Amino acid sequence: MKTPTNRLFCPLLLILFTTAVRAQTKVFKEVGEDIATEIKAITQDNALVGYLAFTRLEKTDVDSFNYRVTVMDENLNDIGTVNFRSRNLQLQAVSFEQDVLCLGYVESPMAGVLTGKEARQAYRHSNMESQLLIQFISLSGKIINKFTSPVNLSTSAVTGTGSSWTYHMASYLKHDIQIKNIPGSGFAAFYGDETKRELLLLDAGGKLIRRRKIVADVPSYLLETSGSNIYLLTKMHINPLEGGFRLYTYTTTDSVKELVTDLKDKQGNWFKVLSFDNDPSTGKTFIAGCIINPDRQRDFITAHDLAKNPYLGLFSMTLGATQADMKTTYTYWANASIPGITEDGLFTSTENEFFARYATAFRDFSGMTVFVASALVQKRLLGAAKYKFADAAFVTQDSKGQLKLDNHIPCDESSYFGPAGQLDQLDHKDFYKVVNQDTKTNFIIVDDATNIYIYNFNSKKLMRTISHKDGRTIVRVFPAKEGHILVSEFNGKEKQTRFSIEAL
Amino acid sequence: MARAKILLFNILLSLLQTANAQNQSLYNYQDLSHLYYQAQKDSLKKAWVCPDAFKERDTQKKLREFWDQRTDNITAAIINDDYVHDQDVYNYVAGIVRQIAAANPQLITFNDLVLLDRSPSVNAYTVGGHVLAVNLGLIVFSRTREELALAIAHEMSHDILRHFENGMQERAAWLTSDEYKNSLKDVLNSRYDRLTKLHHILENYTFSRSRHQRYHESEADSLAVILLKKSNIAFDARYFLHLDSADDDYLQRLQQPLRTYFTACQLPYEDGWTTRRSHGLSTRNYNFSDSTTLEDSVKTHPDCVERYQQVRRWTLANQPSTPIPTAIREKANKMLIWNLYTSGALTPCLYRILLEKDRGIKDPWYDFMISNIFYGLYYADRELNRFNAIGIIPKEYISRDYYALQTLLEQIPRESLRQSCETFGKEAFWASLTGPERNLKDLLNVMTLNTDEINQKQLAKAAHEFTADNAGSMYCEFADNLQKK
Repeated sequence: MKTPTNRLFCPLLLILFTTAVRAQTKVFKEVGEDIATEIKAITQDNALVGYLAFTRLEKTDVDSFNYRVTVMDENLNDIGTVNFRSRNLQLQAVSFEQDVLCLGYVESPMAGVLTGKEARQAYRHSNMESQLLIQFISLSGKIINKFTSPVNLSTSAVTGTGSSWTYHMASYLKHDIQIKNIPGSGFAAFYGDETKRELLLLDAGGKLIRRRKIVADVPSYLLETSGSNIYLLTKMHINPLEGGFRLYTYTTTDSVKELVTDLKDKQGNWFKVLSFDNDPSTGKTFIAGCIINPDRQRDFITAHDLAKNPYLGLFSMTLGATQADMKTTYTYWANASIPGITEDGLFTSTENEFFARYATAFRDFSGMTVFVASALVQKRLLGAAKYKFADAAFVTQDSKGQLKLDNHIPCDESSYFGPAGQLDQLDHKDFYKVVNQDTKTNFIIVDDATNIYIYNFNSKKLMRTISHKDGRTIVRVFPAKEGHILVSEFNGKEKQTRFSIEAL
Repeated sequence: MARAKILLFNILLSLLQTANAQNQSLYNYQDLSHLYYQAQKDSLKKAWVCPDAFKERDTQKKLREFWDQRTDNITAAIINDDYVHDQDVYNYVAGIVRQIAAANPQLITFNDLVLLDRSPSVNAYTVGGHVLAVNLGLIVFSRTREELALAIAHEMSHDILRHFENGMQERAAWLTSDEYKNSLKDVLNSRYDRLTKLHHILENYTFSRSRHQRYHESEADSLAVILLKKSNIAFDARYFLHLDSADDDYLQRLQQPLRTYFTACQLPYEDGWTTRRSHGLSTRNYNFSDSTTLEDSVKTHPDCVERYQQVRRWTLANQPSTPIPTAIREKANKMLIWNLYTSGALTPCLYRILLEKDRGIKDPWYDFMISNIFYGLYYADRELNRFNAIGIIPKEYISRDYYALQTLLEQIPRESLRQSCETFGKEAFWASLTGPERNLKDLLNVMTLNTDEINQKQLAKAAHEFTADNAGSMYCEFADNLQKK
């Protein structure tokens, strides 16, 4: 918004300035090429509260750059900017708590993808130290604190794109920075490099409360917080490939205690994790997924595999600080005689029988766990089986383990394919959830090949069907503030993208 | 005595115009600038010939570039229907221009092309070349003819003093100067701080220009006072203080709670819809120290208070002032509201209507526009564009009521929007509206209630039929936009 004084009778200056700007196109173009912006969502308690644009403006000396952080509210309105100078930064994580933004960067002259020339220059002239930088910014735009810790970056060579033979060098943190807010307290951060992994606990003022070495050295880690509990879900590279999950539980109140839980059932069957999230009603963290059939644990790639019972059933696990607080619900289709579901997990109550390719899970406001799946329809013709993907299916599990097919909605249908069809390539459905805390409604967005389907789980209604492509307009949907989606419409004719934040 | 007679006549005239206001029709489709100013647009291109001001080829070439750019900008604005020619409002504004010109024949030896800009922004401007634009926002905002005349005289002064043309020449000279070229080369040759250096060049240039500009503004203010004096138009420096509140439109509170307006229109309403449920940053107490606003030293206009101080000595005590005739203000306001609607700014459009309701206006045209807004919002929702149609403004720039209204428009359920459209369709006010207005309702029904899914071809056909059946109606602009989609 303009101030009254510069608004009044101002187009004269505007026109003058516009033309002046055009005269310097070449300089602007070259200077503009050095400017790079990336947008990140700002989250608190797993809900989107705003957006942040992180811009590298210019190089200021052999080592440093000028940066700008533009903070936007959940409606994409700018609410302020912060300018600062730093060595080369890569922003990896953003969180928010007690009116403080917490940003996690890798600070290193080598961070990111550099050309051979850039890498040589950096080696020759720069301070080569790399470090983790966690920055704390208040809502008055002040950098109120920072935390740093040395890190060793991994490197790898990347070939140039297209016909270019130029080699690029990528330098990165082995395990990206993850930051989650701890309500009323501050932030938990996790990162890992070639030699160590650390879990940090910081207050909202940026003061380090605790740092803990994570001994486990595994391929991946996922951080989640709930109340005073901090969970680190790790994934080992073992057989079964879809299993190997181990959960580490810490609390903000006890600096020593560590609870380690392997994600297996009582018979020792590993779990495949589909969801690691917080219950919208209680705020407690839960894990939900499939129980892996040890006899079929290698077979989950093809349609034939899915039809041969790779999973014994489904589980959902509410987490807590102690083993006694952990509550797990199991449902096995082999021994539960579930109406409409065979012992192989085939759903038979629908017109077209189908196997469920479980993709994700969420909790509704009544505490029910809802498993979301792509329906793999099986058809037999002269003894030979053929398959296609069609509906999105919603399977509920209550606290007693009662399982039922809650609903299924028609989505984009694939063509029929044979038993060797690879499911990863043939299933185009992506699912994600939107929660409206106020109306206590769960929505599922099914992002399919041709259309986007918006489903209200509570009313069991398909709310909208949005085509990905309408003439020369390409539509995409992204998560937004609570109860809303961010719709991006790229107009190919005008080469413009329109964003809109729409309520569900 | 003579002055008292004039005042009495003006009051009578304004009362007469009030009575007629509700029955007056607005402009015709042919009055939109792309049609009405077609000839002027072409003649401007011919008339605006770049003078030979510089011997240096580069500088002259640069000047021609700016000159052509100015022509392109104004012709593009004409094609884009940024202007409208409503005869009554035009006559009123042009009357002021003529009065000033007639009283100052030594300074004004030309006829100004007066344009009515459809923008709601409280502004008037000149681009030189005797083209003067007055925004509808300024006409609606001004309380008196004299206040409006001050803004017009100020712009006429810029034109008389050739500030725009001189500005283009100064810029052409600067941008082709060795000093400037070398400073740009410095930017390109430097490895570090390129953006900062470029910023400094522009800032120094802007600073230098704005000092000139501020001088120009003071010069234009002074000349405006002289022009007005010779024209026997009263000058009161306090007008500048009023202009200081030009941005306060949406900071004005409503006289009634939102519920009152909604229930009066039979619209569904729940208090919960006006309360923001988001936990987002918009609801937090942020207070970033803003480094992006202009320092006072680089503003082109001195603060209104400063301007007031500079010219207050020329204020004559007890000068009569003439209220802007209600009919003129009303027409300008309706045109402004319609323009906000066609440009898809539904919240400011509705808020302005509610402010009119606070003034006791009973004209059914405003009910018609509220109906259009709800149809428009429902359509935008179906098109996944409700967010842009509302145009959410951060809380610090708007009143509590505006905030509640935009929150309501964001949170009102889709079903209630549909219900609003259905309710409006049955309202009694339609009977007192014109044929094109009733036909517009039919077109809006095709867009919303009569179809389960939006079919662009079907819409284009309905829009085409509307245009054919209502040739000449200003509402054809809406149908035009639909056909262009």
